[in-house]
Formats: sequence, C-alpha cells, structure tokens
Amino acid sequence: MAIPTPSSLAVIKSPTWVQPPMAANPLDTVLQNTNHLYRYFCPALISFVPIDGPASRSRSYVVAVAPSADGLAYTFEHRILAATTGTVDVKVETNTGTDPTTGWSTAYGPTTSGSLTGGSWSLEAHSVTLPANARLVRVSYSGATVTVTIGHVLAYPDPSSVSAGIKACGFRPYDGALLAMTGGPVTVELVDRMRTNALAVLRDRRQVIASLVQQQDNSPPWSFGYAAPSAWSSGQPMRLGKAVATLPGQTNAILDVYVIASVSGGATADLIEVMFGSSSVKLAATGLLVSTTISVDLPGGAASTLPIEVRVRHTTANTTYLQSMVVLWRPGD
Amino acid sequence: MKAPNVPNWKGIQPALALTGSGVTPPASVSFLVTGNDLGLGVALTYAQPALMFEGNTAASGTSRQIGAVIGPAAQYARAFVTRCGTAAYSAPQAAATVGTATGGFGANDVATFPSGLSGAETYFDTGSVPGVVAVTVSGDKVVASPVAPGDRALPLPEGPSSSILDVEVTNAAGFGLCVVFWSPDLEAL
Repeated sequence: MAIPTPSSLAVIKSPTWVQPPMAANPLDTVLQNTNHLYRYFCPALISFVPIDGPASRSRSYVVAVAPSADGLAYTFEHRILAATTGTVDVKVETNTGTDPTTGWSTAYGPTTSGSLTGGSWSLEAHSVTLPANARLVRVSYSGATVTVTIGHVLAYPDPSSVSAGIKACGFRPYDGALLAMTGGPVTVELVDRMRTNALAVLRDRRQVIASLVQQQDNSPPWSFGYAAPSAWSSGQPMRLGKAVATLPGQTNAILDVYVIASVSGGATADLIEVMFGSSSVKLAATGLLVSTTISVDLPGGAASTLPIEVRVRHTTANTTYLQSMVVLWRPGD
Repeated sequence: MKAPNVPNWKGIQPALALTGSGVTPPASVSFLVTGNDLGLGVALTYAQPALMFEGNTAASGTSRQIGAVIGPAAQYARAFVTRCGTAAYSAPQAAATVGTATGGFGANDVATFPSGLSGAETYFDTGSVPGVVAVTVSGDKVVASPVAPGDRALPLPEGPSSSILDVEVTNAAGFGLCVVFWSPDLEAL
C-alpha cells in the first residue's frame, strides 16, 4: 500500500468545478435516511373497521394481504371497546393459499388481552411476522368475558432493526463505515444506492386503500353482518359501503382489488362490484379469495382523493355474502 | 428551506440507476439532490384508506376508534365521513363527530358536521326501504384552541417521523382522512 504523491501539481480543469467533487456528506446522511426508511416507513397493510356490534361471542375476520418480500415483523393494533371491565383472547393466523376454510398457520396467540376498561377504547398491540408468501390473514377474537366491540384492526411494517445483508426486496443496508475513511472513495454504487434503496422500500410496502370486512364465521350463521338481498333490494344490487381514500400526489394508480364472498346457491360470477369514481370492477363470489386490478385516474396534489363504493348482487332465490373486500396499492404501479 | 412534496410515483423505474448508464459518470451534486429528494418523497407517501363500516345504528354502536398512520410533516387533515339513513322519518340525524388524540376528544375539540340527512339511521340498502347516502367532508379551517363545537380541520401530530394517531368517529358509516396542510419547511421539523 502506498499513497501516491505526484511530483508536479495536477491542475484541475475549470469545468470540473461547476459541480464540486463529492465528500462523505451529504451522501452519508442521505444513505442513512434510506436505512431510516427501511426501519420506520410504515404504511398500513391492514386497516379495517369490521362491521360488528357489541357482543361477547367469538368472531373472525379475514383480509387479503401482500406482505413485504423480506418477511418483516408487523405491529398489529386492535382497538376494542368493552362494555365493562374484562378481557378477550386475540389470535392472528396466516394463509398462503386462497381458501379461507383451510390452510391456516397460527402466527400469534390466542393470547388474553390486558384488562380492558369498561366504557373506554383500549389498545391491544403485538408483533406478528408475516411470511412473504402470505395471501390471507385471519384475526380472531374469542373467550370474551364481557361484551366487546371490535373498533379497528391495523397492521403496519415494524422491523426492530436493519440487519446486514441484501434484502429480498432489493434494499442494501448502508454501513456507515463505507464512508468513514478520510479521503475514501465515493463509488457510483453508493450514489445509485440512494435511489434504489428508497424505491425498494417504497415498492415493497403495499398500502391499503380501502376495506369492508364482515365476520368470516358461519357459526352462528351470519350473526352480525349484511347479506344481499335485503328486504328492499331483492332483484337489485345492494349498496354495502362507501368511503373516500386519499393517494397524495398521484394522478394515476393501478390498484389490486381482493374479495372473499360466497353464495347460498346459484351462479357466482360478477356478484361483487367495487366502484372507483366512474370506473368499476366485478368479482365472483366463489368462497375463495379472488382478485383483479383496475387503473384509476386521480386529481393529483395533496388532496388526491378517490371515492370507492361496494355493491353486492344476488341471483334469484339465492343470497350473497360478502365477507371481505380489500384494495391494495403498490406505489409506482 | 425545503418544502414537502409527495412525488407522483406512476411509472417509476426502480432499477434505473441514478447516475445513468455511463460507465464512469462524473460526481454531481444533482445526484445528491435527486437522491435526497427521492428519500424524502418516499417518507411522505402515506395513502389514507377508505374505511367502510357500520357505526351509525343502535345495533352496531355509534362510536369507533381508528388508528391512522400519519406520515412526517403532516399538520392538519380533513375527514370524509359517510352517513346513511332512510327518509322514512322527518327527524334530523345526530351530527357526526371526528376527534384526534392530537386535538382532543372533548365536545369542543372534535370536528362536528351535520350529515344533511333526516330520517332513521340505517345502513345503506340493508333496510326495508332504499338507503339515503351522503359523504360529507369536514372543513379546512384551522382553529388552534377551539372553544365551541364546529366544523374544522383536524390537528395531526406534526413531526419528523411517522406516527399512529387515535381518531374517534361517531355516527358514521365510512371514514377517510385527507392531509391538507403540511409543514412548510422540512428543515425546520
């Protein structure tokens, strides 16, 4: 090893000074920011308010997921309203298939909640590692000692640290030692890593755009939930939900729409319609997880909003049950 | 001074090198600026979901607490609240309210807005008559220390990192947040 020392000065050409050569900073700071994104960028993968009411019965909810390719830990948060002081058991399962009646693997619990204060919203939070190939998540509540209302279920990526090694999503952790040496080289790879790392995290963490979730259980049969037709809507589509999502900054997005629905009999095709503004998709009520995609135009800007509505159809003399509708977005699609 | 900006990510090519395809591109401050802006843009990209549920009838109970993931630098949001009922009765429905842990849940703290609907509260078309549905958006007026109920923007936990915000919604059958005010200068966070 040697330190080369020219015997004559190397005169730097003027154009070089138009943009000065890089030093460790601010590149070091920007790369550390990408590590920050990996650890702390936490858009919700699961967010639903179940169609539910106060009860002590057991109940389960199933939602479609597309977890991180890195098999990350996710924090699950359950907001529960107990009528009086008591507890409820919480369980989370994953499924790599599309059939919600089989193939479940326990990922958490059943674990008894802390003491829920009567008349107040309580937060139960815990970690669950979601395998990259999980397609479904089932959240169950059982053994309630008092009447409870399940207010909201939230799950977001929450890795405890940034471990060494290239990740399946394409993220390359930045080791601060790479730029710590005085006078050390700044490689093209490190410069490119600012972009590839940030976009790897962005694209790997799908964001939930919409949800409408009813209980999955068939026993007791459909004890709280809505099925088509209602008394009024026989022969017509029944509106079952409407709300507004926001995708800030976006003017167009391709969204993934997932549905689990079933019928008491008859044909299953095109019974569930999800409307996005003036566009819509129709999905089948096969009892399995079905999905499709839709390209939606948005106004752009901070308030780039998207109205979403769900309608349920039925065939003559039959009933359609919508258990779960979820819309996911991968930024960039 | 660094203003927040959520890029339009449509069509972004993750595999594209920041430095282009040249074998030995010159060191460039523009690379640093672009790389820095991309990272900040990702950090601000938080969609807010359209949540559909029943929270407006006696059977369901009329209160829901929601955990909303809020990105960095978000200051205030407007709330989209879905109301529904039937026109079978003439009495006006109760006003919907939305409160956040940042702004408080007291009577004067929450944003209130009437649905504009009259009639018995039901859930969409699940009753014996067609449902009447309205989506109402709360106002964008910022009231730092409210002393009376009103229709106003919802305060968010402004900061340099994301957070989970408790939001309580009453008399609603759907909910969504829309961040409308951001910190004007990210460097000041």
